[in-house]
Order: sequence, then C-alpha cells, then structure tokens
Amino acid sequence: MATNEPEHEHRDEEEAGANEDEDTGAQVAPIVRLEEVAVTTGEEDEDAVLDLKSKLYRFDKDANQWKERGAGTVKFLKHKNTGKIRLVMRQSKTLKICANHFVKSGMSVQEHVGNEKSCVWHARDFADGELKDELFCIRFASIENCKTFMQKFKEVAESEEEKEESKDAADTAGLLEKLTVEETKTEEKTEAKAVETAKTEVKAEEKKESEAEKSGEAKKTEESGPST
Amino acid sequence: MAAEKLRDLSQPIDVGVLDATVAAFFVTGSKEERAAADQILRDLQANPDMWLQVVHILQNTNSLDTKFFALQVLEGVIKYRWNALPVEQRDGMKNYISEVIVQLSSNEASFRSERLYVNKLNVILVQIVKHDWPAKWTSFIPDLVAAAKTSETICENCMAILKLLSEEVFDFSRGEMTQQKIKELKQSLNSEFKLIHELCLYVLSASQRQDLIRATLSALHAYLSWIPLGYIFESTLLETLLKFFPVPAYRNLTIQCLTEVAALNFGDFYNVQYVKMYTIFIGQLRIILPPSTKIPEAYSSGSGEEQAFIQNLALFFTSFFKFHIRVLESTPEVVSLLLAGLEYLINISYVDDTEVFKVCLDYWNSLVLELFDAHHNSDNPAVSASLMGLQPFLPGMVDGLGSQVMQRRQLYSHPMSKLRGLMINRMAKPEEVLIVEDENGNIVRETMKDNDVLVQYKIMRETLIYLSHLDHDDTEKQMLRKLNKQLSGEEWAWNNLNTLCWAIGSISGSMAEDQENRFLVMVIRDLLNLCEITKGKDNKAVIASNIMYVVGQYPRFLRAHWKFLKTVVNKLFEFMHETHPGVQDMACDTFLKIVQKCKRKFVIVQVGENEPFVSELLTGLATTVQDLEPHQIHSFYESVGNMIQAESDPQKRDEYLQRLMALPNQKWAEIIGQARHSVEFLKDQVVIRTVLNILQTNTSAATSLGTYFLSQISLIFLDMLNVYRMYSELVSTNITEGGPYASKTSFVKLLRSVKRETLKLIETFLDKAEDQPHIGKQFVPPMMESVLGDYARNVPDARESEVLSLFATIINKYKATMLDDVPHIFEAVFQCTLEMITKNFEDYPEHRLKFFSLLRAIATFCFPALIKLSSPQLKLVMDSIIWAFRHTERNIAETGLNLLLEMLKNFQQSEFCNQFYRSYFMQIEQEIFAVLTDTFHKPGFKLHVLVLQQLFCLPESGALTEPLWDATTVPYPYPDNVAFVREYTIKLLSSSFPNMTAAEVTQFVNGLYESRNDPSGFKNNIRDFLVQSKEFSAQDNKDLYAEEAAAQRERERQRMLSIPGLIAPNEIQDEMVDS
Repeated sequence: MATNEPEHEHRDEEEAGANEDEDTGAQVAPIVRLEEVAVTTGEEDEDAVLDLKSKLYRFDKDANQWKERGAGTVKFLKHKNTGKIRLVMRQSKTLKICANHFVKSGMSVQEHVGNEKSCVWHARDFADGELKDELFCIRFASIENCKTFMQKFKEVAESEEEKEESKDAADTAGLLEKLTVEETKTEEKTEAKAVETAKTEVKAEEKKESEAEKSGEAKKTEESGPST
Repeated sequence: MAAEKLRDLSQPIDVGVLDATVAAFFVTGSKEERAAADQILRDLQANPDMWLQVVHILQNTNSLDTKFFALQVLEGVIKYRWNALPVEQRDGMKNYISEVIVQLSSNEASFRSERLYVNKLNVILVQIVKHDWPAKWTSFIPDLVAAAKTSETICENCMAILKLLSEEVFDFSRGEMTQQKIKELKQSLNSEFKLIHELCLYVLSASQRQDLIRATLSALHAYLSWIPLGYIFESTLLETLLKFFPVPAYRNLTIQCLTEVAALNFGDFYNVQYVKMYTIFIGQLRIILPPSTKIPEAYSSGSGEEQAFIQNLALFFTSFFKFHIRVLESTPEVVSLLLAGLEYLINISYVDDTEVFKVCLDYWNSLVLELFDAHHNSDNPAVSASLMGLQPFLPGMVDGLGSQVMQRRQLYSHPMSKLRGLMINRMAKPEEVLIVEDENGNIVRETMKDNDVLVQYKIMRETLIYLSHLDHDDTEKQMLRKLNKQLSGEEWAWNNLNTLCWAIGSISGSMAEDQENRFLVMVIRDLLNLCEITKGKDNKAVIASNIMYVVGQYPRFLRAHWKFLKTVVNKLFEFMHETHPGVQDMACDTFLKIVQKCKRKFVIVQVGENEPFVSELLTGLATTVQDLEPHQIHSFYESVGNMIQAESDPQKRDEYLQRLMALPNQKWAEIIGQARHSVEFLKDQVVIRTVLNILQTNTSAATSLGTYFLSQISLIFLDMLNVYRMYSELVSTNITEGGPYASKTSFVKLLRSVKRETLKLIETFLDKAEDQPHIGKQFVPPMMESVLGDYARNVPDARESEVLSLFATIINKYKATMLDDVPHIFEAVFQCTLEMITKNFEDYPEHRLKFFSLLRAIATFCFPALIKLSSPQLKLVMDSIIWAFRHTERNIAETGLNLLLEMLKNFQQSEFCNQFYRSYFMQIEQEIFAVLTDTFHKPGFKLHVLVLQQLFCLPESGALTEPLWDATTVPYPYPDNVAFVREYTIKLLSSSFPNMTAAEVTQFVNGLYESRNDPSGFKNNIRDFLVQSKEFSAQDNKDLYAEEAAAQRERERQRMLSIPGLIAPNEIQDEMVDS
C-alpha cells in the first residue's frame, strides 16, 4: 500500500494538473468487489482406481454411425464412503464431461470386432445432465491399455454384483430371524381381555364392600331405635 | 344222478340233461348241486372228445348258458389242438360256425336278440382264422366282404369280426404267437386290405344306419395304425371321416380314427394331407367346442360321452403334435391354427382327471424337450451377442441356424408361457419322509415308496426345468406373480401354497447362479411376509414348512451365503423346540437335508466367527435337543455326524465326535455301571428302551461318519456284545418257557429290538468303513461267539435274521480276507437256517432273503471256502440254491439265480470243474426249465436265460475234460458232451411238453445251440419256445422284456445328468461341490 499510495497521489496530481477546472475533490470507492471463489471438480470424495488416456465415441442411432464424443482421460472413481464406483471421462484441456455413469452389476464390456485397441459397452449415461441410454466405444493408445480397461470394468461389475447379493442375503437372513409360528398379536389381545376381566372383578369387590357397609349402618339405626 | 349220463360220449349227448346241469351251476342249484354240476362240467370240458358234441348241442339247446359252455369247449380245442385235428373235422366246424353267424346276422331281429351269442361266435371264428388263414383258408377275406354286401346287419357283424381280427393279430399277439407267425399274418392282412378298404368306404358313403356306421368306424379304427398309407391319404377316407366328426353320434368314434391317423409317422410324403386334415379338423372343432369354452368345468359337469370326447381330444392333439407339429409351422395361416390347437390342449390339461392329465403331461414333456434340445445346441456366444443389440458388429452371424431356432422359440413363446403356468399350478407332490411305527412299536422314518404321484412329480419337474431353460425370466415372473396372489389373499390356501413351493423348489439348479440368487431372495422375502401377515398357528406352520422346503432345495445359494445359512440353521434349532404338530419333524428333516449338501461350511471358521459352527453347535447340543423325540434326535445325530465327517483334521474330528457322543455315552456308562452291580437292572423295560435308544443314536451317527466312527464304536463294543448275549438268553428263555405266543409279547419284542439294533449298528459301521480291512478283522473275532454262537444255539423263533445280513455285509466288504472265517460262519448258521426255511416257501421271510444273500457273498468273494466243503455239504448248498430260485418271492428267486450264476462261473474255472458238473449239470438244467416255464417265475426270465446260455456254452468251452454222463448207466457212449447235452435236453422237453411235436422240440434245441453265443438270439428263441408251449397264453408277458426296459432307463439317466437341474442338486453325488 505504501508503494501504491504514491502512484495514486501521482495520478491525482496529473489529473489535477490536466483538469483543474473538473476536480471535485471526492474520493471514489470501487464499485464491485469480487470474492475468491472455491473451484470444485465433483471428484473430491472419490479415489481414482483407473486413469487412462483415450478417445470416446457414442453410437448415433438415427444416423446409424459412430460419432466422436471427446478425447481425454477415462477414470474409475471409487467413493470413499459408499464404495460405489463410477466411470467418468473428461475432455482434455476443457475438462468437459463426455461420460458419467455408475458401473453396476450386470454391465459388461465387449471387444470391438474390428479393432483390438477398442471396446464397447452399454450404459445409462448422465454426461449431458439427463439420463440417456448410450452405446459407447472407447479407443486406447495401446492394446495393453485396452485390456487393462476391460479387465477393470469386469472386476468392478462383478464386485458390485457380489455386494448386491451379499446384502440381499443378509437382509433376508435378518427377516428370516424373525420367522415364527407364534401368534403374537392374538396373545396381546388375550392379555388385554385378562386385564379387563381383572378390573371387572375389582369393581365387583368394591360393590360388595359398599353394600356391606350399608348393611352395617342399617343395623346401627335399628339398634338406636330401642334406646329411644 | 341223471347228469352222470353226460359222461358217456359214445352217443349224442342228452341236451336236456346238459341244460339242467348248466342251469344248476349258473342259476338254480343249491350249494351242493352247484358243486356237483361244476365237477361234471369240468370233466366234460377236459374230455378230448367233448368238442365233437358241440354242433349237436348248439343245434338243440335253447339255453344261452349252455351255448356258451359249448363254445368255451370249442375255443379251448381251437387254441391248443387245432392243428392236430383231421382236415375234415376242421373244415366241418369252420363251415358250421360261418353258416350260423350268417344266418343269425342276416335277420335284424335275431341279430339284436342273439347279440351276445353272435359275439361269442365271432370270437370263435377269429380263433380259427388265426390258425388257418391265409395258408389254409385263402378266401376268408373275400368271403367275408362278399357276405357283408348281402345285407346291412350282416355287414355290421362283419365289421365286428374284422375288428376282432385286427385286435387279435396286432394288439394281443405279443407273447401269444411266434414272431414268425406275427409277421406272416401282418403281410397277408396287409395285402388283402384293399377289399376291406373298399367295403368301409362304401358303407360310410352310402349307409344311413347308425349302428352300421358306428361298427364300421370301430373296425376302421383297428386298422388305421398299420395299413399302407395310400389307403388313407390317396382315397376319400379322410374327407369322409372329417364329415362324420361334427355329428354327435359318431364324434368319439371318428376322433379315435383320426387319432390313429395322426399317430402315423412315415416321413414327409403326406405332409400336405396332414395340414389339410388338421385345418379342417380345427375349423370343425371351433364350432363344436368354441375356444372360449371353460373345458375343465365342462368336463366335470358333462355326460360320460362328453367326457370321453375330451379324453379323445387330448389323445388326438398329443398324437398329431407329437409326429406332425413341424409340418404346421410352415405357413402363417397354419401357424395360427397350430397355436389354437396348443391352446385347446393346455385348457384340456387343466381338467381334473388323472388319466387325461397324464396323457397331456407326457406330450408336454416331449415337446418342451425338443424345443430345449434345439435351443441348447444353438445357444452360442454369437447368437447371444446378437441378442444384446450388438448387431452392427456381427452382421453375418444372425442368419442361418441360430435365426431358425430363435424364430421357433418366438413362435412357441406364448404357449410355453401358458404351459409354465400349468406346470406351476398343478405341480405334484415330491418325495417326502413319513414317520411310521414299525412292527415292534418303534417310531422310524421312511421315505415314501414309488407311486404315481412321485412319477408325475418327476415328469413335471423335468418339464418345468426345460421350460425354465427356454425362458428363465418368464418362469420367474410367473412364480413370483402366483406368490403375490398368496400374499394378497386372492389364492391363499394350503394346497395352493404347497403346490407353488414344490414348483419353485423343482427348478433348483436350472438358472444361472446370480439369477437364481436374486429369484430365491425375492421368494423367501415374500414367503416371510406372508407368514407375518397371516393369522393362525396352523397357517403359520404351513408357511414356515414351505419356506424351509424351498430353502432346502437351493443348496448352492446356502453354500454361497454363510450368514443366511447360519440363520436358517439357527431358525431350525428354534423350531426344534416348537410343539406345534409337525414343526419339529420338519425342522429335523430340513436340517439333515441342508447339512448333507453344505457340510464343509460348518467345519471351517467363517469370516466374522470365532470357531467353526459345529463346535458352537456341540457346546449347546444338550439344550438344542432337549425337546426332541427319540427319532428326531437320531436324525439330528446323523446330521451332525455329516458335519464331523467333513472335518479333515483327525484330531479335531475325534474331539467333535467325543463331544457329540458325550450325552449318550454318559447314559450308557451309567447303565453299564449299574449292570455290573446287579444284572437285574438290565431287565427293566425302561432301561431296555433306553439302551435301544442309545444304540439307535449310535447307528445314526455311524451312518454319516463311516470310518471315522471307529473310536466311538470301539468304546462301547465289548459292553454292547455283553448286553447282546444277556438279552439273547432272556429271549430264548422266554420263548422256550412262554409257549407259542411268547415271541409276540412286548417284552420279547423290545429285547429283540435291542439285539437287532446292535447288529444293525455293527453292520452300518462296517459297511461304511472304507478300505480298512484291519478294522473289520478286529471286530469279527469277538462276534464269533457272541453273535454266531448265539444264533446257532437259539431256538428258531429267537434267531435274528440281521446276523445273516451282518455277515453278508462283512464278506462283501472284506472279501478274501474273510476266507478263514467262512467255515465257522457256515457251521454256525447254515444247517439250522436251512431247517427253518425248507419246510415251505413262506415261513421266516427275512431269514430266507438274508440267508441267500450271505450265500451269494460267500460264493462271490470266498469261493475257495466252498471248494473245501465235503460232498454232502456241497450238495446241501446246491439244494438250497435250487430251493432259492424256486421261490415265487422275487427277491429270493433273483438272489438264488445270481448265486447260481456265480457258482457256475467259479466252478468252471476251478480244478473241480468235472466233478461238479457231472454231479449237478443235469439237475440244474432240469430245474431251470421247470421255473422258466412256470408262470409264477416270469420276472426271473432274464436270469433263466443267462443260466441256460452258460450251460449250453460249457460243453464246447474246453473246461470239461471228462464225460458229463455216468458211463456205468449209459449203454453206449456219446461222441462228446455236446451231443449228450443236446439229446438229454430234447428228451427232457419232449416228455415235459407232450403237446409239442418231437420236431418242434428238436428245432428249438438246435436253435439254442446255434445262438448260444448270440445273447439276444438265444433269448428270442426261448421266448418263442415259451409261446409255443402255451404256458403263457392270454397273460401279461411284459416281464419278459424287463431287461430292455432297464437299459433304456440307464440311458435316460445319463442324458439327464448333462442338463443342469434335471438331476436335483440334492441328488448329485459330488463330494467336493460344497468346498
């Protein structure tokens, strides 16, 4: 600020010199102040388990041909908490999303018939901000990379499947734990009836006691009669 | 008595007296009179000259019963002695019968009133025809057709005769006529059918008489299955039949004829005609029975004729589709008719009639199998890939076979879907365990015997598995949908739920594992929800049982999900405390079933567990079983034994076994300890029952542990034998002193149960122990005195047949190492058992069976011991073997015959070949022919043939070096043993079957020699001999073909093993599958 200040003053002097007649003498504050904005990619909670350079195509059904989607890097991202894995492809430099979908059980990837460096798969994709059924083709720089991608894809799909099954079986086991041939609700009703019966009995007893007292009083009245 | 005069046949019989005698027998006589009349009539019938009186009787009597008697005599003569009669007498009788038939049937009134008589005459005529036509009565068919044209009533009767002829020649000929004769008759009838065909067409097109048309359709029905196809397809016959089909009076007869045509299968030449026939048929059927008809309801409320129509419709569709369904797939218009037909058949399949359902089910099974086979063979990666929409990359793979198969599957997908619904809705009950009380009052578990329901379950299960393979998703959806109807209450009922769960359980193993897992999870969840929302303990118990049944059917799922498996087992343990009827039994049975398939899972330390499940189980064993009945505890011990058997570490295994048996062993030690103080303690009935229970528990564990049970049985073995001896003495004493009914008292029964269980335990252990000769050897010596000695000393009623089967098992198991012990076994059991069983064929049935099993074991594995027997002893053995195969009890006869085969083979290879065969060859041959020709022994046919074949091969085998005959009694020597055997056999058979000529017998024996190295030729020759000997006439002879049926069954099983799910996962014998 110290260094800035003199320049500012200097500029003021120049202006004063050049436009002595126009000088209002007021100090002007900045009109807009910009705050620093945090930049996020949406991948902060995920670990990359695969990261390869590739070129992505999607099959245009209407035109009946492959169309290039983008060139960049394809990643498998594993969520740190949920463990779910999704496939994300971003265009290099612009980082535009070309593909974005979970890898689910039942999904599979196939070799491209005509090219050893390419493979194809179906997915429900969310890259454009809406869910679409897509047929993708991806091409790698080398056969090895292609094989690596395919193998990883299969591993992820299978592990998803196993997790799903284990969870289902565990849930079902939990339900099975509660299996019984006992009639619990009926028993509760029976208890309720028992309670009511008990109350009725109590009332009956009270009634009897009351009547007994009344009888006693009557006797006393009779006894006092002869005294008079 | 006046009737005695009837016996004098030297002059014409007094018909009046005969009428009175017959009437006395059938109608008017008192008991004594009837018996006397019966005797006289039998004598007359047996008299060889009686048949000469038949014409005289028929001409003079008015009694229908007398006429039938005379015809009965005549029928017997024709069947058995016709060829022996003089030609003049045969011709005379033939002409007479023909004339009477024509005379009676030419007049409407007499034809109706004498209907029964005419029918019987028809039968007689056909019997004559079977002998004389075509060789001796070449004009029979032309004569018959000519007669038919003279009047409509004669024509009607001719149709009846033609029907009888066809039935006699083609339907009932198997086993009654030689194969050569059958072939000859078929050729002749075939070549002369033209006349019959013309007559039938003429009648159907010209006549208006309902009875005649019906008779013609009936006759035609009998011929359609074998006549040349041109008569059907190149004439107006089909059109005529289809015209009659809509008419109610002829509908059932017509559809039966059409069914015969539909069942023909001779290539593709007449496919166009079949399509046309089917098209017209469906068109008419839609009028008769609109597609919207609810067939099951119509059936249950319909008349007999209407029900018969539904049955016939089922037969028609199944026959037509079985052989010609492919033809109907050719064009779109016909395809829609095909689908309409399948729709009809599916609706018929819901009819509540067992026979109708069986007919439909057999067809569905074969159709689905055909579709599955095509699908199975064409299902390859290329086709699968194209189904996934990757068509742009595989343009060349879609065409061709794959495409064809897919089109066919799509064509049938809708009917197959409906068929799945049918199978699921009507699934039969699978095999189940029954809890029954045996003859000694003990509760035991028995699996259900094979019966119709079980057979139906197997076919339906197989069909449903094929259907599942064709479309897993549809199968799954339909089952889940029906399950939802249970949940919503729409279809809730015990029977519906049971049926559905049987269906769900039946397809186990047919889906890919991940799909099966998802499916099962959904099913179990829905069933659990159903149990939760349903009221009533009975209802909940039924649902719980179904849940456990389904779970038990899917061992693959259980093995893959430990947490679920553990929960299931713990839940079963909970149910073992539930006193609601049936729940405990269900829990124990399911536990055993699951353990058998998942046992290794229980002995490894699972993720998240501190110790193997079996160890945890053993810790809480006493608590788990405290509420179970004895038979349930036995099942439980067998289950845990399976787990322990799966443990590979010997030290752990022994520890587990020790912990498992701690409870019964403690009890056993207490009892033995008390018994040492006072032997009287063992005589208390409660104690006896406890001992029995402990032994049964041990037997259950031994069943599953096998060899590994050694340490346990060693622990109690000697005490067990002591108890055995003591109880045996008690039994002997009681039977000896207690009189004839002592062996039936509950006390003696209880004691014998203990003895029997002791033997069973030892036998089970030795039988399960594998490749351990020293184990068997160490257990045998102590038993020699305790068991064998006891058997020998005992009174017959006190001898335990289990002793015999125990030693048979030991010999079968340890083979030649038992050689030195055989003499002792023989000495102890042979003579005394033989005395028990040779008085008749019925007493001591268990002893018979087991005695011969023991003998067979010795002959098979310890043959040298037999060689060491003295001559009288060997003769006793041979006599007992002959006695065995003379039993009509099938098991004993079979064991005896197998034993005989074993002896023949072994002696042939031994140094005593000559002596043995000289002593026994002729006797064996004679006895085998005796049982071969006895109708009570037909089940043994296969083995009889094998024995004879062995005997006939012997003389030329080179094994014999001396004559078979006794040179001192035969005046001249035979050239060799072959000639001797041939001549001996001819003499034997000729004297036994006087009704066969010497030439016939000689031809038969020569045929045996020529075919002795050709098993099937040899067998067929013997079959023909049996037919000619007349011993088998008019009886069921399918037992003669039992061997072929067995071979077919084995081929079927091999095919089933190659298809996932067809052999239930629980039945696959693969020990490593649950690792």
